[in-house]
Amino acid sequence: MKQLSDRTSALLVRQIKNNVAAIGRKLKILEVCGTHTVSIYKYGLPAVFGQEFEFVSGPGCPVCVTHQHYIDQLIELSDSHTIFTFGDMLKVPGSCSSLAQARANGADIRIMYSPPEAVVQAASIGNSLIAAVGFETTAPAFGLAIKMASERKLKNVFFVNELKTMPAPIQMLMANGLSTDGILLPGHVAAVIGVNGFEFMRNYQVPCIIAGFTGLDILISLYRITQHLLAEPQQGCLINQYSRVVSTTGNPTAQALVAAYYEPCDAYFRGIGIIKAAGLRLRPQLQQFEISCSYPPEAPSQCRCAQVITAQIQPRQCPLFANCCTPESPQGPCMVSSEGACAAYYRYAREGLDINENY
Amino acid sequence: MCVGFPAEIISINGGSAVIDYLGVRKEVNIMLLPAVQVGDYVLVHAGIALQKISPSEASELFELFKELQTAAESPLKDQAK
Repeated sequence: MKQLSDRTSALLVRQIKNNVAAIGRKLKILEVCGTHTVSIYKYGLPAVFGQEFEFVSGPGCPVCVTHQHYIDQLIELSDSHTIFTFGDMLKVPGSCSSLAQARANGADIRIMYSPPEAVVQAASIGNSLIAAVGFETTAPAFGLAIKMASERKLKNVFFVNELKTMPAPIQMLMANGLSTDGILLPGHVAAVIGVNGFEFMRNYQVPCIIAGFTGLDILISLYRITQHLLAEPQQGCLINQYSRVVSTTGNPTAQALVAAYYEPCDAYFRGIGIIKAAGLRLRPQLQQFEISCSYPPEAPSQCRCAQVITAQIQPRQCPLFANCCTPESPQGPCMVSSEGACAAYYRYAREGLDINENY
Repeated sequence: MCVGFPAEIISINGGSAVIDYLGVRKEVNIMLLPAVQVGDYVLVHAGIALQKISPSEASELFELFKELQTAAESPLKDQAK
């Protein structure tokens, strides 16, 4: 199997390069999922395909699109509540502190792996808050958590929701005239919402591939994009490369659970602003479990994460990148999250910058 | 939080199952995959089994390999001319 994978990869690289040569221009490839960002840099694809592809990121890393004030509000609430959060939120800078700093100062901030497990723990302590952050892949986990809290009629467990959904931000990018030659759609979101959840992508004249996350998955997806551009350059398409995990309908049980407990709402994306119907909030009958968050205007900053995650610039084009903004002291969310575009670029691609400005 | 991984179901106990991921055993919630069985591979996200993984990857890859080999042969022939 490994030999087959290696030989296929070698043939893919060669065929992709042939295809792009035949297409006759450098192609701009958009990915919208942090795990894709990391894979692309980890496998060195910007170096392998320096002449063929420019890779740009979309707003699909939940850490990167969380408003500063969400962090501020959690820190404020940590005076009176135990906070349960995913570990990658700890170092995200709020307006003057982070959850990690608050914890160092004595706040009870605990890292959760699984939201239902957090509810079990929270039930036996005082007032607790669960920071519900993520896209369609984590929404079902929070659905199970709220189901548990509501069935057990817990009075001391609350959720601060920042759940988001993927279709609306992609539609926003397209409506804003994003020019791209191919889109890698997030395979694990599609595992939940199915190919059906991305059918709307057929409205655009661009090849869209529901892609897995290994180097080989991405090579196959890039190959499919180039094949499509050669065959039908004027047409869009929706191809499921990740069929070992993604079915047409996704996971109907998970979809029903999320729909039973959540309803669509507008959502704030850091650096972008409000996107209509891009979020999930608890249904009205469950609002005793929800602490809502307000979003004042963001403080001006030199950080250009917003342009990085709207496919406008590469991380190195931000004046802070690798100067005062590093994974050790991140100035913006894309450098905090290990899945953020800036962190991935810093970790895997930065060293090549001096020798190959085409990155 | 977004990292999903494939794991094998080792045993099932009601709404939860013990999975094996590269030798690590862990309990995960399987309430969203009612039909899952011991021996199945599943995608796990945040402690929840989200989707069953089909084992058809090898045959798909073989098909692709054959397609690419055919494609690779034609430009070489052109060069030989």
